[in-house]
Amino acid sequence: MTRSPRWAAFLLRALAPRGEADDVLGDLEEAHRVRLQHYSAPTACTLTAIEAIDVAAALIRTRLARLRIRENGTVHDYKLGFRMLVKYPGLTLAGGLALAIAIGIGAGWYDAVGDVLRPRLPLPGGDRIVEIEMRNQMAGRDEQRLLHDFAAWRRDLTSVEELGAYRTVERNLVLGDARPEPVTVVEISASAFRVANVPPLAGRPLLDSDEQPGAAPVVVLGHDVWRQRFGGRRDAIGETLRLGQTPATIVGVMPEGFAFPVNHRLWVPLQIRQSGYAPLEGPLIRVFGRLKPGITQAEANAEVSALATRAAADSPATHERLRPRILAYGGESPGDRSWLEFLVTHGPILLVLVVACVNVGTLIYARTATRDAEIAMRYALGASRERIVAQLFVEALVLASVAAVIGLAVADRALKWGLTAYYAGQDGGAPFWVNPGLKLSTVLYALGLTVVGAAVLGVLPAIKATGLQVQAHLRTVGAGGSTLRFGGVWTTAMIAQVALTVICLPPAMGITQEVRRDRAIRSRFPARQYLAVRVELDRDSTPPADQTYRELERRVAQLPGVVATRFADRLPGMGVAVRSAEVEVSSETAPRLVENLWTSAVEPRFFELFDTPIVAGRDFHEGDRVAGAQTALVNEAFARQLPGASAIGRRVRFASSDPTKPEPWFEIVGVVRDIGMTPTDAGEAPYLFRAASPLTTFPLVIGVRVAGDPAALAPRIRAIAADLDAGLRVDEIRALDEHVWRVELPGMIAAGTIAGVVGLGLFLSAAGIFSLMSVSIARRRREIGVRAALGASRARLIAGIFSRALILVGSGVVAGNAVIVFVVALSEEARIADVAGALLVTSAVMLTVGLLACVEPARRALRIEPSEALKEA
Amino acid sequence: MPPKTIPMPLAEFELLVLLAALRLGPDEAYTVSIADQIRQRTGRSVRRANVYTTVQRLETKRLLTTRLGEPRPERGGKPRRLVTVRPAGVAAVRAMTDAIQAMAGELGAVLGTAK
Repeated sequence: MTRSPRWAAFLLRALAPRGEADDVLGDLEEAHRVRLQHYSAPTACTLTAIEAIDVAAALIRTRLARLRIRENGTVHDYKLGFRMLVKYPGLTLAGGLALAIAIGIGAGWYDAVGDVLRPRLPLPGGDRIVEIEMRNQMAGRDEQRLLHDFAAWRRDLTSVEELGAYRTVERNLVLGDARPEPVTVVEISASAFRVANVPPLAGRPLLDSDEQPGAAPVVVLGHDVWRQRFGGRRDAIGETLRLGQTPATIVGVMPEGFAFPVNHRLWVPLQIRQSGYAPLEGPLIRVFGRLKPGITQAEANAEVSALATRAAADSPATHERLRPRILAYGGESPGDRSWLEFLVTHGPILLVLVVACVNVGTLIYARTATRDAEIAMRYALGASRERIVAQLFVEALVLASVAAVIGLAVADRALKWGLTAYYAGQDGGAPFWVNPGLKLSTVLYALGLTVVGAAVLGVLPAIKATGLQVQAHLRTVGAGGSTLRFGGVWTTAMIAQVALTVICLPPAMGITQEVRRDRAIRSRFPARQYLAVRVELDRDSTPPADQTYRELERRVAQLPGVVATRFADRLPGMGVAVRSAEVEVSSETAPRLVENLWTSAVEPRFFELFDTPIVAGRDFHEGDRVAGAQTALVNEAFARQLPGASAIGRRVRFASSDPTKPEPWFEIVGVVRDIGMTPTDAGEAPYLFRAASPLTTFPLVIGVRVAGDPAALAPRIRAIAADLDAGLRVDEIRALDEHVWRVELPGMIAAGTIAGVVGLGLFLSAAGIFSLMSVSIARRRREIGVRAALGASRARLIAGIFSRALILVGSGVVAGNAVIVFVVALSEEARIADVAGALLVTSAVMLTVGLLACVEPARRALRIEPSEALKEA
Repeated sequence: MPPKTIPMPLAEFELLVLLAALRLGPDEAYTVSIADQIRQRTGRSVRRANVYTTVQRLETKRLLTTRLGEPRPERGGKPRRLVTVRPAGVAAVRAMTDAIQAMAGELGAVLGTAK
């Protein structure tokens, strides 16, 4: 055999540049033939293969060398781009910061919105999994009492297969004699495992037969539960555990990471009554399924809408206002992927990038203006306009790329931190499809933003700089100075930027002041002396729940360090529970609407826990807790909103979403002093308290006042609950100041973000004015020199220099203030007098910033030597 | 007399490849034979990969041309890429050798090559 071995040829073809391998294969065979005369066949083959690699490498080296020669121009542009970053540190800092923020926000938003709208499920065929959501149009919320509709969809809906439902419940997990521990369990249709299409690690998933009434209770374990509670033993399958009072046999273990439908680790069958359910009857469920092959989300939506129309005709009382939607699973996107959806969700954020690019473009244009002599010379020496524009584009691309890397790194950290913090406060943690940190698609998106940004901020100034005036400037190259001017576009952009900053300043100052004020008010409340214990009892528990709760409260109250305990559905400062209400003012007039009324259900003597007195009327007593008592307490802020004398005896009711079914009236029996944990612009928020019974209150929170460290009590309270009843769960124990911190955090983040953005706006405005003045001084160098030589005073020179900056800043300030005044005039809530102070302050801030930006250019102008300037002329 | 102008400067190995190709002639000069020729005449080890890339480079400089010869007689045999030196290549070789001769001609005693 004299031919070279096939794999040598294969190696050469695989490694060598396309088209060159065949050219040398004949020579390789010749060399192989000669080699066979001196060596054994295996040795010759090996040597030929080595030579094939050697030849391929040599060919690649040659190709690369050629490319290097061709690319040298571009490589040089990149080097120049990096040198520019160092040479103009001010522009690098200002422009880089603006672009980093814009690209970071754009990429972070893209990533977060992607997760919210249409998350990528890490399941086989995950993009075909959907959720059916029912929207109550009148109430403006989701309707989850869907067992009746679920049965109808299972029967009639043809575009979605493997329809299933689930609901999440809390149970105490009891293993042998171990102490019960609260766990989250999902009651789910067996079809879930077919929809997810993930086989179990061991045993079996839930089966349709497990859903039948009377079937033996079974449970499927998540990987974490199996490893932690059963040590990863395979023989755990078949063992029995208890969920609250119910024993269940372990039939399977799911693989690591599996948490369908959301973040679940324990699956039990969802058993549905065979006799069916009336409309809007039964527990709250969520419905999921998989689109049939060939069916689009829009088609499925059309079918489910048609079924809804039929249901509305059959049951108008319950279904007239209900509108079902088929959503991408885990997301909020109702339709198929489209450009319109992209534009609607990303357009506003992309505007931030455009604004940043225009700003930075202004700075780059100013820099380009200082290099117009260089550009003109290169043009004259034969460089094409495209070549010069490409060079300036690459310089902008280098700046944008550095900014993008920083922006992406910050966005990645912020997303990780934000999502981790957000889901840390939620039961079960993050949904299984949420993967904190930027995705590859986001990085590619940011890459696109970077190139587009570089085009906007690099190419536009470059085209302007290489326009007709380049020819004209050749005549004046030797004379010094610059011919480039800030034309109408750039001047308008800068005025708009100043105006935008002026518009944003008052809200930023307002939000910052509001957050500081709220923190100061809340800090007066001794929140760290309180512990909020959220408890829940399984419905099938014995003895009666009321008795169990009372016993729990009694035992907790006896713990050393505990000063007092009270039940409520929330403690002051534990988040928002706001409704609208109507208050009866008199028998002749219509009820008065109270919007943003905070509500809470509390037991008698609840306010003693906080040393808050009843200032009028009386406190709740046991009689107020019986059904039909319909009494309420209000705080002083509520009472202040009522005209006339006392609030006692007035009636109040919550606003109903259905005018034909008004909510029942409550009679106000007492007024309690403002606690001071819900500050608003008008002082404390109005509050309405209802009398609570542990049996009818959800969630049920025990407020524990502590002398000492509240955290030390947590394990002892859990132990008491576990001893008391296996069905009694302590879902959460937190010090009240932790809750307060969680309430305050979003406001603090918002205030910090807005302050940062406005600060950046101020900085960019200053940088823009600085650039404008620098270019202006460069252009007027000879003129200033001549005027100085002719005896113009320094004051006149400075006035001449500052006039344009003042006109520019003044125009922006006037435009911004005009917009604010216009908006305030349209608003019914605010008056111009309220914002006049803020307008003055922002105008002064803006003018000061503008004048400060002129200081250095002015000094530069005054340093011009008249004799030098005259020589140049 | 002013020195002659060298039409195209050549690197040492390029000169050797051109000389070998001229020696072998257009029907026998291909990478393997060129490498063997240089090895035999100069005694230096030659990597055929270097010969490939040098031939490519000389072709880019338009000092030689290459063409595919007849396929080898056995089934599936590949053709050799044969090298022909162009007149510009001959001129470049001549200029280089002349320059070397001009520089080294009177240094026989120094270089130890005097006869």
